[in-house]
This record gives sequence, C-alpha cells and structure tokens, in this order.
Amino acid sequence: MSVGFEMTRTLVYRHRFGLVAMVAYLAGFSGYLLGIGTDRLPTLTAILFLGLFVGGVYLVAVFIHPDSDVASPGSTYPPHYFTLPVKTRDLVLWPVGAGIVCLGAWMLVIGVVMRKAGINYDPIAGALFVIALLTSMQAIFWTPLGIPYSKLVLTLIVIAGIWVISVGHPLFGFAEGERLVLFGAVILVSIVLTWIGVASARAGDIYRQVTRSEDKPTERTRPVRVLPAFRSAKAAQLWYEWRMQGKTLPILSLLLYVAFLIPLFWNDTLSPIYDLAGITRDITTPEIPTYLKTFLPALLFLMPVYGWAIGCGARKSDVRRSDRAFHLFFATRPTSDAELVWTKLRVAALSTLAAWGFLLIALLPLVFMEGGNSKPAFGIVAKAPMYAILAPYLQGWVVVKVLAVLFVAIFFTWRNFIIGFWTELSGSLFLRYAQPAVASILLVSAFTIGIRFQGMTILQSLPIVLGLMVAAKFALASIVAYRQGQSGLLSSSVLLRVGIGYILGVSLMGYAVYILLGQAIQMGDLNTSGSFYLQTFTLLTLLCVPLARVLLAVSALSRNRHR
Amino acid sequence: MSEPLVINIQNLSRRFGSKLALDNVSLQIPAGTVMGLVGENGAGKTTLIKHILGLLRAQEGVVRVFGQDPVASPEIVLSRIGYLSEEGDLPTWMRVRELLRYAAGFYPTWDEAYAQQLVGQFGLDLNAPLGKLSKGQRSRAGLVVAMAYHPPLLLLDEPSSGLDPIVRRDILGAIIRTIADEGRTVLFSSHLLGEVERVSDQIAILKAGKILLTGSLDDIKGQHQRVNLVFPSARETAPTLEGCMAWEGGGREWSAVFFGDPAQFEPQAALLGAQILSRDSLSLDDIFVSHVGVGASAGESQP
Repeated sequence: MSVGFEMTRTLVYRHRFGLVAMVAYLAGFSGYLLGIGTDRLPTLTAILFLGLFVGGVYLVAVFIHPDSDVASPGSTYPPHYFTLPVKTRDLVLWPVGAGIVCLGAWMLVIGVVMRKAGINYDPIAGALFVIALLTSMQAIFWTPLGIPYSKLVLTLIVIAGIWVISVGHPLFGFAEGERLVLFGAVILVSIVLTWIGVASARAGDIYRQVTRSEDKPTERTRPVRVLPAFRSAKAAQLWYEWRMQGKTLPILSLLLYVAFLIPLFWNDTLSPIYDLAGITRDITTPEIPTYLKTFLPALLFLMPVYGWAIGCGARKSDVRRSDRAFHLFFATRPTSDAELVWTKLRVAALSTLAAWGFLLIALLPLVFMEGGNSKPAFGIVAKAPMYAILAPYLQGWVVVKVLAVLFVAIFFTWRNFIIGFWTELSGSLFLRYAQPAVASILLVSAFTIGIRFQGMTILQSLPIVLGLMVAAKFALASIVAYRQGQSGLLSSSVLLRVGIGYILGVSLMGYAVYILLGQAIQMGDLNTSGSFYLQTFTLLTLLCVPLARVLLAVSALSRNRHR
Repeated sequence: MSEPLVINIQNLSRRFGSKLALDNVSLQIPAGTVMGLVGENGAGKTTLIKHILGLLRAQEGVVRVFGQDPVASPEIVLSRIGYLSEEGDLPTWMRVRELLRYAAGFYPTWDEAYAQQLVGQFGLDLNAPLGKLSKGQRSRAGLVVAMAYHPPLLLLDEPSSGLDPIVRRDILGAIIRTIADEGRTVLFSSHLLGEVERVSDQIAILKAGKILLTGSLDDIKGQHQRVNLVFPSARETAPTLEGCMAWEGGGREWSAVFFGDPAQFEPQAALLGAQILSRDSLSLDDIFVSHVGVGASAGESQP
C-alpha cells in the first residue's frame, strides 16, 4: 500500500466524524430539496444552504491541516511526514488529490441536486471555484514563507481574487468559458507552488533561515530597548491579549482594504442608488462607481465575519492544540478568572474599534472618486466627485440611519469576536464541536415542529422560537449568575455591571434596529405587518447581545483552570 | 516552636477516569524547608504539584498553601509562588525583555535589579524571541521569572529534565540561593537523585500515587543500610527476613538492603547462622531503587 495513500487514509480517518456528519447533512438536504422543493419554504432553504457553506469551509480546513498556526512563518505541513521514506511528490499530490476529489464531489452533488430542484446553478463552475480556493490555500499554508502573518495576507488577497473571478466576471467583462480557464490556471499554478513549498519545507529552508539569523554577530551587540515594567497585572494582561489577538483584526482590515481597492482601478461604470432618489425632491438619481456599490457592503459585512473567525480561535492564544487545559503560563499567574475574561472582552472591543476606525478613515478618500447624477431617459446628466453628488442627500435621518448601520455592524464585530470565548476557554471538545451542532438541530427541530405539527409558516413560528430562545437564555444566565455569586467567582458588583452593560447594549442595539426597521417598513420592503417585525427584531436584539455567554466564559475558564 | 506550614495536604486523593493518580496523600512542608519529591514517571508528582498550584481541584482531602485554598484564592496563593515547569510553557513569540516586563506587572515584589542580575548570569539575550532560544535557555528565562520577585515558595516541577549539566547547575544554584534567603521554601521534583540529595533536607518518595516514604534525608539514610553477610552453606535463594527489601549475591555470600532499626536485623541473621561482614550506607539512588524498583511494593517498605 502506498505511503501517500496511507497518509490520506489517516487524514480522512482523523476527521471521520465531521466528514460523516457532512455527508449525512448533504443527504438530508438533498432529500429535503428534492422532496419539498424551494418554493414552499424559501427561508428555511436559505438557512439550510448556510450549512452547506460551512461544510465547504470545513472540507477546505481538513485538507490544509486544521491544527496549523495561521500566523506561523514556517510551513504548516505536518513535519512528522517529512521523515517518511516517501517522495515529496507523494506528500503533495495525495492530500491535494484527495482534497480535490472530496470538494469536487461535494460541489458536484450539490450542483446536481440544485439543478434537479429547479435552481439555475452551474456545478462545474462551483466545483472549480472551491477547488481553486483549496489548492491556493494549500500552496499558501504549506510553503515556508518566512514572514509571520504572511499567510493571512496572501489568503485574503487570493480569496478576494478568486471571488472576483467567480462573481465579478460580468462586471469585468470576461466570458463564462474564460472564467473556467482562469479557475483551471489558478488550480494548476497552486499545485506547482504547493509542490515547491513542501519540498522547500522538507529541505528545512525556514530552519536554515533561523540558524543564519542566530549566527549574526550583531544579535548580542544590538542595543536593547529598555521597556518599563507594567504597573499592574491588568495592564500586562491587556498588552498580552492585544499582541496575541487584538492586533489581528486591525491588520486584517488593512489587508482587506488593500485587496478591496485593487479591482477599483478597472471600474469605469456608474450605478444608481435608488434608495436615495427622491430625498431631495428632485427627479435625479445619484450614481456611484458600480464596483463600490456592489462590493462595499460586502467589505463591511466581512468585518463581523472576521471578528467571528478570530474570536473562535484562528490564532489560539491560550489553548494548546494537544492539551486543551488552560495554558500553564496564564493559569499560574496571580490573577482571577473573571479578570482574565474581562481583559479579553476589553481587547475585543479595542480591536474592533481600531479595525473599524482604520477602515472608515481609509474609505474616506474614496469620496473624491467620480460619481454622477442621472435622470430617467437622459442617463448621466452631470458628473462630479462623489462627495458633491452625495452631499445633498446627507440629511438628518439619512445620517442617523447610516450611523445606525455602522453601529450595528461594529457591535456585531465585537459580539462575534467574543461569543466563542466560553467554548474556547472551556477546553471542552464537546462544547467546541458538538454544541453548535446540537443548537442547530434544536433550532431546525423547533421550526419543523411549528411548520409540520402546528400548521404555521416559518415566519409565523419565528417569534415563538425566538421567544423560547430568549427565555432559555435568561434562565441560563440567571442560574450561572446565581452560582457564580454563591461560589465567589464573581462579586455582586461585577454581576451588577454585567447586567447594566447588557441593558445598555440591548437599548442601543434595539434603537439602531428600530431605526433601520422603520426605514425598511417605510420603503415597503416588508410585506408583513410592522408589529410582527418589531416583535421579531426585539427578540433578536435580546438574543444577540451576549449575556449568558459572557457569564459562562468565566465559569468555563474557572473549570478549565482548576480542573 | 515549630515553623508554620507553607504546604499542608491532608488525605488528598485524585482520580483521572479509572486511574487513581493520588491515593490518600498527606504532606506537610514547614517554612524554610527544601523538599525533594521523587518518583517514577506517572507516580503523581506533577499531579501533586498542580494541586498545590490550584490547577487541579481536590476530589478528596484538603490542600492548603500559606493557609489558603489555592483554587478559591488563586490570586493570593499564586502571588507567593515561583513556579517553573518542565513543559516549557513560555509564549514563544515573546522576547526575553517582553517576558520580564509582562511578568513584572503581576508581582508587586518584582526586583528588577535582581532580574537583570540573573539575566546577565545566565547569559540571556534580552532581544531574543523565546521561540528561538534553546530548551536550556528557555528554562533559564523561566527561572528568572520564577525567582525575580523573591517568592516565599519556589515550586520546580522536573526543572532539569532533559537539560545539559550547565543548565542543571544554574537551577541547583537557584535553589541554593533561595535557601540562603531566610524562611523561603522549595519543593522540587526530579529524576536526578544526585541533585535531590545535594540540596534537599526533606525527601518524599511517591509510587503509584502514594507517598511511600517521607522525612529528613539524614533520617531516611539512617534507616537504610546495605548489610554484607556470609552464610554457613551455599544458598540457592535469598532468605526472607523482616525489613529486608532486596537481596543480591549467590552461594554463601549475599548482601541485603535493610530498612528499619538495625538492631532488628542481627538476631534474624544469627538465627540463620549468617555472619555479618560489613555494613554500608546507601545513596538516595539505591534507596529509591530499592523502594520503587521492580519487585518492591508499598507493603514491603512501610516501617
């Protein structure tokens, strides 16, 4: 039996539970889609599609070795394979091939099912898209680039590039066939680069680089910058958390911004913003560059997504891969469990504000790009910088609504940053992997019961399901708070502050959502009664502001620290 | 008047699944003591130390450090403990100077001059990232952090495991320096019994989660001796004598490792007609092997 085959078998065996769960999900989804169709339950279908997306991300992670440190300057290819009596070709082609087959099959099955269900979808393009993502990630992660965080930089640029090829081809004017050729080229180049990268890592290139730097005679004679000692444990821990996790999001926002700007140079068309038309009681419609109109919302949407990815441990700060117990270095510092969690919350807030602050300031110069005003039947009637075009529309409520959108986006970035803490700090495999699955199953079950047995539509059952979740959240938070108060883990003053913070967060979020909701109702986007949406969004607001998770984080850390 | 207890462990038991890692362990360490904790791999040394640090909750029994429960009051207890583990748990991305700066924030008694003195003595490069240091250099950096605030209790878990003799010498030197500071206490576990023997004044031997033996090094050595004797006729097997933990030899000449009151041994040997040729004292290494080595059991070694 080939050693390469055995390696691949081991990789698949290691992730057998996840892979089986994915296949089961795909089978269930296919059965649902072919049995019910997309017309009857479009919202539920859309929710279920998210599961397929997560499955695709999981598959990519499996075949790039998910235990790797994304910030590492070296190769993340498992080094113990390098000593096997096998050619580098086998080390590369077996896992690459297995990944291509798995992801390709995954996307093809999805594509075929979707077409059978009457959804217009090209399975070949979809498969090539994810295979291009996989192979490019393998090339980036398995090559010893020698620069910390360079993998993250390249990942963002490459993902943006592949995304542009995938969805932006009408915008940039290349044909469907050319898109497939481009995907093929990305895949081939990536495989070659992966091969070179693994060969380089196997030859110890990064090691030689380290040795050379250690041999430098200047190393010891370099002047040492004296750093003043931290005045308190809080300050020291804050510095640590910032260095370890806090700075990542601002760096990512910088890279994201650069990647976002590149295609802007090829954009030479304008698109109207109909939402603003009529505000000035004029018949003109403001127009801005098509690329900005299409992708700026996506750029802003990605920030909460990145917050979620970082918070859930893209860079694991205190939980080592092989040992999930709280890291000894922190566990033996004289500081309380609550203080460690509190510092993480603060750094998440600082990181979020820094990232958004940078992004918004960096986006400001774009207002000097050319925009225009158009009139029906006349097309563009005047061209001017965007700030001049948009200024007349920036009236009271428009500004408030823009600020509300930004507030919600910033809040969600912070919220997503911290929601994974309680599972990460627990060191519990069950919480990390099974809890999201169990929660998802419960959620889908609740909707299914409402739809199947109570004869409700998914929209009708939404407030009931959300209400149950809110009740469960408050019950859990009360129990945890009571037990923490009893055990002395959190003082009553801290619990009071958490409560006030929650009420403040819910109030601000609720108000922002209310403003946006009012806009949506006013514009007729919502075809159901306003009270229904108000009810639903109030419950969603109560749910999304984390209370139980913050309290659970302290308990989880305490249990992990004192096992 | 006796010294106050720095560590007081009463009837501590700990189970990991079906494995009993600590079995009814009791241990008292007064202030100013240097205690060596010895035992095989998996004997429970690290588990015991983690209970003292509050990293493990006592499932049964009581653990008190400076009179406090280390799980309930980690800030109070840990601020008085200098800890160095064998695991090399320092963050690899930090530079040495950053590590010192970070650690200084946690300890009001941090002595920057002493830290710099230790850095110079250990030849540490303040600019070097910890990830690029050798294992020995990383241990030295950890030692600086463990000692620079003059902790009343120094806790070293296999500190010299896998290190070269020069680093081991530094670690021993650290223990000796700590001893020199009046009233400071050291608990360290090690496989290197020569080191334990050199610096400890109290010893505890752990086997399979139980403390087989504890006491001052002099007392323990005084309780053990190797007795060389000659029998009137050749023997194929060693005789069974109370207090004898191990036999070596053959024919008429045998030597026995004896544990207990020496006065008990002579009448038993006389009954067998054996003549005692000489008595030798045992090294800690010999004592450890006779208690923990193959064939030794807890029942045999109880005084």
